[in-house]
Amino acid sequence: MQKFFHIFIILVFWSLIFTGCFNSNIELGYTLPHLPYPIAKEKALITIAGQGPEGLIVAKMCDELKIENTFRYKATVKDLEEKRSLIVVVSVSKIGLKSVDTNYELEKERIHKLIRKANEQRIPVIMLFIGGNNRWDKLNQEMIMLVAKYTNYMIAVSNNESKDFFRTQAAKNNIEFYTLVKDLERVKIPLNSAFR
Amino acid sequence: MKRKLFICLSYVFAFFLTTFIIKSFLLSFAKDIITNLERSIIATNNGLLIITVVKGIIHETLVDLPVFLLSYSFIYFYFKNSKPSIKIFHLIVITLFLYKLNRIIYQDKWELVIFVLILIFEIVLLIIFHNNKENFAANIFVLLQVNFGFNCLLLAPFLNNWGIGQRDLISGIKIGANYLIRDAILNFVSLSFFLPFTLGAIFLSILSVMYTLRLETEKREKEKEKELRIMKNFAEEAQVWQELHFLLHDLKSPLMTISGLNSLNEMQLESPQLKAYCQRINQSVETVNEMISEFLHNEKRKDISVNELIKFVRANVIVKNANPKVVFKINDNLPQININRIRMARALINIIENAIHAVSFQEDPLILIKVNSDPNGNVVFTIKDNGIGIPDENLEKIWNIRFTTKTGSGGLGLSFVKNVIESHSGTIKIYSKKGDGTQVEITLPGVKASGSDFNNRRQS
Repeated sequence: MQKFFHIFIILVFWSLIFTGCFNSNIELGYTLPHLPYPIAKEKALITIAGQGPEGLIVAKMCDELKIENTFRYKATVKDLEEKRSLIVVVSVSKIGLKSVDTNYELEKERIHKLIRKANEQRIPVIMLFIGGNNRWDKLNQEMIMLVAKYTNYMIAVSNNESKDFFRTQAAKNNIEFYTLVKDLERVKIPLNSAFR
Repeated sequence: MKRKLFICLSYVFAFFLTTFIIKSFLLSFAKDIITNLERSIIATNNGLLIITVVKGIIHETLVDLPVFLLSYSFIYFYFKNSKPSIKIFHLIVITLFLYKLNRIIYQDKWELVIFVLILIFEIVLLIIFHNNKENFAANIFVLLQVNFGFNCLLLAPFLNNWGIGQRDLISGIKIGANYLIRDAILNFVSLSFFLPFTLGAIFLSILSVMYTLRLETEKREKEKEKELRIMKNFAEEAQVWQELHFLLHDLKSPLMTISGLNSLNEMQLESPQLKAYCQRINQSVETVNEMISEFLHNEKRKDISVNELIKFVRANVIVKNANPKVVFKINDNLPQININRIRMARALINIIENAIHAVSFQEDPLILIKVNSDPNGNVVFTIKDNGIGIPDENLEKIWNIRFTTKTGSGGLGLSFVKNVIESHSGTIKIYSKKGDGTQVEITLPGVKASGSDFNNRRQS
C-alpha cells in the first residue's frame, strides 16, 4: 500500500512538472528571444515588401545597432551584389505602393525575384514584420507567406491572434529559428543577434 | 416618380464625383504625409511628427466627408416633410451604403466605431432640427466639426485595443510614433483636437436651437402685431363711417329748413320767373335729400345700366389742375348692375380723381376707362392711366384707412372704394408700377337677364 502511495506521489509530481514544461513551450508564444548564433553578415540590404514606412524604421534600427546596411525601397536583384544578407520588412501599404507608382502584384513579383535570387546566392534572408495589429490584414499575410518560403530567420511583432499564423508559417517553411515579440522595442535584440 | 429617380441618381452621381475628385487630391496629400513621417523618423523630430499627425487627421476627415455630408443633405431635403422615424431609418441605410461604396473605392478598412459615433451624432442633429428648415448651413458646419473631431481619435494609440485607427495611413503614422516612443504625443494631439471640436459642435447645435426658437417667437409676435394692426384699422374705419353717417344725417335738417322756407317764399312771390326759380331750388333740395338717403342706406339698390352710371359719374367728376385726355370705351349689350347708385358713383369718381391727380404732371396725360363683360356675366370696369404709378412698398398699404400720398387728403378714398365694391359682392384689383402708370380693375356681378326683365327694360 505504501509502495503504491509513493508511486502515486511520484506520478503526480511528474505530471505537474512535465505538463508545466510542455505547456510553457506551447504557451510561451514568444519563443527564442534571440538567435543563439549569428546567421547573417554585413553588409545587409534592407528592402520593404509593400512600401510601408516600417522599412525605414528597420533601417534606422540597424543604424542604431551599427549594422552596416543599404536601404532601398524597391531593391532589385542587382542591389544584391556585394551584399551578404537580405532583410525584408513586410509592410503592405496601398498608399505607399501608389506613391512609388507600383501595385501589389508587381511588388510581389519584385520581392519574389529578389528573395529567390538571394536564396540561389545563399544569402541569408531575414524577414521582419513589425506592423503588429495595425498591419494585420489579408495582403500582409499573403506577403508574409510569400517571403516565409525563402526566409532563414523570422522576427515578428505579434499577438494572440497572429502567433499561430507565424508558427504555422515557420513549421510549413522549415524556418528553424523565429522570434515573436510583443512590441517594437523588443525587435532590436533578435535583430542584433542575427548579425552578432 | 421620374423626378424622385432623377434626384436619387443625381445624389449618387454627386457622391461618386466628389469622392473621386477628393481621392485624386488626397493621393498627393498622402505622399506628402508619408514624406513628413519618414523625415520625422530619420530626424527624430517631434514637430514634424505633430504636423504629420494633424495632416493625417485632415486626410482621414476628407476621405469620409462626402459620405456623411451627402447622406445628411439628401435626407434633409428629400424627406423634408416625413416623420423623424422614417428620416432616421433612411439616414442609417443610405449612410451605410455610401460608406461601403467609399471603402470599396479607397480599398481600405472600415473604422466602425468612428462611423457609428458620427452616425449617432447625425441622427441626433436630424431629430433636433426635424421641424426646422432654415438651419441647413449650420447643420453642415456642425457635421464638419464632428467629422474632424471624431477622426482625431483615429490617431490615439490608447484606443488601439478598441479597433480604432486601423487604416493604412493611420497605421503607418502610429507605427512610426511607436518606434520614436512618442505615443504620448499622439494621444495628446488627438485629444487636444477631439475635445474642442466635438464640444464646439455640441455648443453650436445648442446655439442654433436657441436661435431658431427665438426666431419663431419673434415671428409669432410679428404676426400678432399684424393682426392687432388690422383690427385697429377695422375699428378706426368703422368709427369713421359712423361719424360720416351721423354727419350726413345731420345735413338733412338744414335741407328741411331750406325746403320749408323756400316753399314759403314761393307762396309769397308773384313773379312767375321767381316762382320757377323756387321750384328748381326745391327740386335740387329733393335731389340732395335723395342722394343723402341713398348714401345712408346702402341696402337701397336698383338695377341700372352701365351707361346711366357712367353718365352720372361724368357729371360729378371734378377736374383740377390738369386737363387729361379721357377716353371711354363702353361695350354694347352690357348687363345691368344692381347697385346703390350714389355710393358706386362716388367710388368710381374717387378712382378717376386719383387717376387725374396721378397724370397731372405728365406731358401727355391719358386716362382710359373701359367697360366690358366677362364670360361669367360680370361687368368689368378698367380705369388705366399713364401717371406716376404706385411704388411696390405702398401697394399693400393703399387700402388702409388714413394712408395717403396726397397732401391735404384724409386718406379715406380707397378704403371707402373697397368697402363699396365688396358690399356689392364685387372685387377690385390694382396693378401698378412706379413710373409706369396704374390700372384699376373693378368687377361687379351683372344682373342675369330673365324674359320679364328684358321686357321691363324695353318699356323703360
